[in-house]
Amino acid sequence: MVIYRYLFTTRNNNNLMKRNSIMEESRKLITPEIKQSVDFSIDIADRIFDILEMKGMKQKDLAKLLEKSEAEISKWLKGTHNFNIDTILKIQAKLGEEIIQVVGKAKNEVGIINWTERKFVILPKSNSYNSDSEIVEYAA
Amino acid sequence: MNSELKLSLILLEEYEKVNFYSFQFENETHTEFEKFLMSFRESHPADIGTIMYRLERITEDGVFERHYRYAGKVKDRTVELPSHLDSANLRLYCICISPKILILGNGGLKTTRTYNEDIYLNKCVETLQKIDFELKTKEKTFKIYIIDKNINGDLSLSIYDEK
Repeated sequence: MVIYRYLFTTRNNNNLMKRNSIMEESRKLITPEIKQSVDFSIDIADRIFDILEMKGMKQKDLAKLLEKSEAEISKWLKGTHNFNIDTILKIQAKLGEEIIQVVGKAKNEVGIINWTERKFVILPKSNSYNSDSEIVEYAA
Repeated sequence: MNSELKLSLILLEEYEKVNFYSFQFENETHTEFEKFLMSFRESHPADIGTIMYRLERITEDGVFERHYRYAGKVKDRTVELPSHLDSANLRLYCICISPKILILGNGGLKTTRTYNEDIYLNKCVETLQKIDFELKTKEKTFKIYIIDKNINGDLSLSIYDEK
């Protein structure tokens, strides 16, 4: 299973569109920690959505499996829920699919996005990469 | 007695997939969302950072249900952008017109169980509900029309404040 985002999304395509100075100023308050926390939470919710869709299930089916109310499951899937490990493990068990996979230390590889060639490749860890490349978290 | 409040819808920011609007009352210099940011960015920087980043995610994904929760009544389109951090309670109220259009309103710290119990937050939501009602009326009478991520036509509105 792979969890990663924005591989080739609309990066910097919005530069010429209207922006608001007060909003731009407020964006400076977005810290890496905030990004990580919000992204991770939304990614987990997205992954659960994807599994449900793949299995042809609805939120209410998951609610039934977990013996929870549909409202609670809905809250979980909005990407605003602070999931704990037990909850994730329960969902994994009931759905029979992995939601999160921990990257093994033995795996001496990194994911590299090359923005010029618009390619995502997995390469052995190295001290130098092309300047137009970006190292991203990768889980195989 | 009801007093008339005049306001205009303002396009704040545009993106490939989504446009953000807000509204500005007559004789005021800033939109409600700008006022919200200016009120809280110094006192609650982490919460504002979270809300701004959630908006950034919305520009990538679209204004979909997973990014907000419903705040008003079933019949209106008032939604609430949740604060991710459980320890914080800053709420921003908005109108979700479509997956491509979000009208950003005002909000504040939620210290009560429901927004209805807080006079200020309740007023924020009520204002949005009234604006939503006006927009629907104008849509039905073709005074405004929505094309893709733009609200076109007469973007000036009047709502009535109950005193």
